Amino acid sequence: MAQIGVPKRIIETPQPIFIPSTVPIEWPESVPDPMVQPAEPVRTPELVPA
Amino acid sequence: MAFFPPPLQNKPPTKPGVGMNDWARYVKANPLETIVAEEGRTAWKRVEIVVRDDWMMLQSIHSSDIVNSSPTAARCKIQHHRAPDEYCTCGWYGFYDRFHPQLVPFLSSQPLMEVYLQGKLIEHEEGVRGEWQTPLGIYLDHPNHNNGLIGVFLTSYNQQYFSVEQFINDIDIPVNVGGKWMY
Ligand SMILES: [Zn+2]
Repeated sequence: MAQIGVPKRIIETPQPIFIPSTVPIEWPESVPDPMVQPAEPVRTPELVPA
Repeated sequence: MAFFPPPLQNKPPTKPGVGMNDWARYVKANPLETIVAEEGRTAWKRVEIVVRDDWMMLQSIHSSDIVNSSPTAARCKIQHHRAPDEYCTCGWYGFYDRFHPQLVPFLSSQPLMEVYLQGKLIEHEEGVRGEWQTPLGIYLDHPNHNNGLIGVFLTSYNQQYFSVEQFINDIDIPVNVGGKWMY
């Protein structure tokens, strides 16, 4: 630990200003999102009685 | 708008008086005034160059925390409150005086760094503790740096030398060598 002497005063100053990146994130279209439900329900094949 | 992770505040601090350090006892006897200021302040510290699997990193020699090139919040590892705390020893440390005796160069792997501290600051007699730390520049001031060499101890306790040029290429912070800024 650095030896910086006894505390004397507390100063509240603004937090750093963060500049977010302006580069848009592009998602590849070929990768399906597992959270998105398909638009049309997948039709299950009807059972054929034996 | 806060884009940074907030300091850990989810755990309650330990009971007052438990594990009290000298500063906590002093502050209890001499309560600190709090003022508000528009600007943070600059301070000086020594950091350690650490090489792990060909990656060069900078660590605070006082806390062993990694020093990022972007603003980073201090996190208290003792009581999990907002750092720095007047009753604790946490926070990013810096000295006011660039020529403070505790900043004398010892190892070539410990360059001097100027930082900008923001957020909550606690002013001490010879230095300051801060909440947010942003590196402004690294000063290679050890005699070995003039020979273009930095010696780093590896985890195997072997020493490896690498060039000042390699350090400048790997580190995302302006580096000052012999009074000249290198990028
Ligand atoms: Zn603390």
